Amino acid sequence: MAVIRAEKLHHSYGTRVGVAGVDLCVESGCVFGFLGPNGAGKTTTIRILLGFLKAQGGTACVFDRDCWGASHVIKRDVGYVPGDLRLYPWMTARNGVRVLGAIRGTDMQAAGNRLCERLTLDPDVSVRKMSRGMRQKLGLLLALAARPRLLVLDEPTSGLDPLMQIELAAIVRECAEHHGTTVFFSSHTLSEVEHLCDRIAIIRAGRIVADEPLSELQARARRQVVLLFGSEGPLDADAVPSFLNVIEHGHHRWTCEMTGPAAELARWVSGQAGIVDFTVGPPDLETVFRSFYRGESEAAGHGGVAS
Amino acid sequence: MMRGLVIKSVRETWVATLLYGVGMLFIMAGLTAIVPQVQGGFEEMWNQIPFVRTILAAFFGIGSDDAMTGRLLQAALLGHPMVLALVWAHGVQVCTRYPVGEIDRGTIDVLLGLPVSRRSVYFSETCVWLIGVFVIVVLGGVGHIVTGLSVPPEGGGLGLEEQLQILLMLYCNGLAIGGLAFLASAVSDRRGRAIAFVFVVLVFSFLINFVAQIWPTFAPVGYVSVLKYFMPIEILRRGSLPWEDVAVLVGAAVACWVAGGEVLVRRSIRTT
Repeated sequence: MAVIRAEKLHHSYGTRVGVAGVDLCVESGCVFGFLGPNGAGKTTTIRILLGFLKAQGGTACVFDRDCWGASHVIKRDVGYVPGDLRLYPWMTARNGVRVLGAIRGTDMQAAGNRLCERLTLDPDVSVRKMSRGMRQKLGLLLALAARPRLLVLDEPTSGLDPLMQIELAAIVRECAEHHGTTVFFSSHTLSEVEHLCDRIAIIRAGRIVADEPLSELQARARRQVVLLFGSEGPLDADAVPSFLNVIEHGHHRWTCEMTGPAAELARWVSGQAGIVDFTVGPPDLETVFRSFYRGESEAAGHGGVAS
Repeated sequence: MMRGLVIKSVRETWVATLLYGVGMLFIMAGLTAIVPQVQGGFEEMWNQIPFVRTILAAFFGIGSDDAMTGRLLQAALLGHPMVLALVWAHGVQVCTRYPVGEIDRGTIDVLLGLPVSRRSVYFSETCVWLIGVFVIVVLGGVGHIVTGLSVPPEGGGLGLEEQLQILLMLYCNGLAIGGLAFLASAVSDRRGRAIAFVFVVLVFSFLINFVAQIWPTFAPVGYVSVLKYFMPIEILRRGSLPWEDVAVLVGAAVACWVAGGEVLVRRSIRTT
């Protein structure tokens, strides 16, 4: 079942394009990475999905309800952390959980206490005395404590230290695996989502340029392969299969790029007596990711894109 | 849901409301206390200097046929600019909190990211504001009534019924300005602009009323001023509440408030 479904979404800010023809489908229980450079249209898409902006074209549904007309009903099951998080200065974790619980009509106290410990957040410090990272933690706590069916996180790691980023990833994974929460995780850095998400969509200049499972992206990504030769020296260059592209020719060591499954490489290596050892690096998603980002400068030349 | 929203609004506004209320209490008490002190001097100036009559007519709507009694002075001071300024300032401050104040401080994303409709937040803010204006007017009334009893003007002060009628008119005047502020808040993306709009309307209103009182040529356009519908002295002249003025003030408040609500639920909320 699709939790989020958007078709041909369009929204402009005057002459600037926010999103242009965005199609999305996020299945229930999926951790969905929504990647794109700054100003690509990630936040605009999220704001349409949450009913802040009225799409000027196309349709957007969450839980099979219209995002504009039934926004407040949808948000009973949504936890949201905005990209540019601003909280009320008087708010502490303790009173925030109480007030938001009263607004949501649920008791968030127990979950709030647990998350406070996990995020190492003092429940009685007010927002006006918090650092940026602490405010971000409080925003996450308030979104997570309601145990929503859909978590919408817009660049949630900004301001968090590396340890807390790891903790957040663990929490998000737990939500998805143990509670079946669907997570819509927006980010502009691949490293944040590549170990977390099941599926990734990449948006550039207001358009979705890729939307596929992480495994397919990984299969498409190149890996670095190092081949080590014995005393007989290297192979004849013509003997190298098409899935390997030799970058550096050494006397005893070749560095290559490989596309395709590693099993194929292993089969080929086993038939080569001259190769004494080989190593295969992880899929280089960064290169795939950058290839999708390419062309951004041309898009900016056509009026730019609002975030 | 409404309970939570009201708790949030009260938490953010109670201090300001209390300060306005205490300010109103002291201002009303002070103005009422000085009436017996200045009454004699006023009567003398009123009878001897025509310019004073013109100015008082422009500011308080006192006609040249009116006798300068303690009751009249008390009624006029209930419409003193300081009193109006407090009620208006409270209205502008509270009624521009949502949505434009939330947009301005960036908290609208957190607020509307909750399962609340825009209308329900608008309604809860309105409830808190209505109670706030009531508290301010009541505290002002307490200051006036208590001081009037302990320091009565020569010839006796306003009766309780007249005082309550004037306070009701003051409340309705506050409603009109608050309704306008809600409308300005709903159509704007910057709180400063919304406040500036209401401020300009008030200054314009004040000027129109002033000019219309002293310059007969402008008298026909005086009806566009909100102050035309808040003339405490009119209650003394009539001996009853001017219901048509109440209707105009409440009607304007409701019209602006409804228009603001309708704009709010239809507009896109942008924070960038």
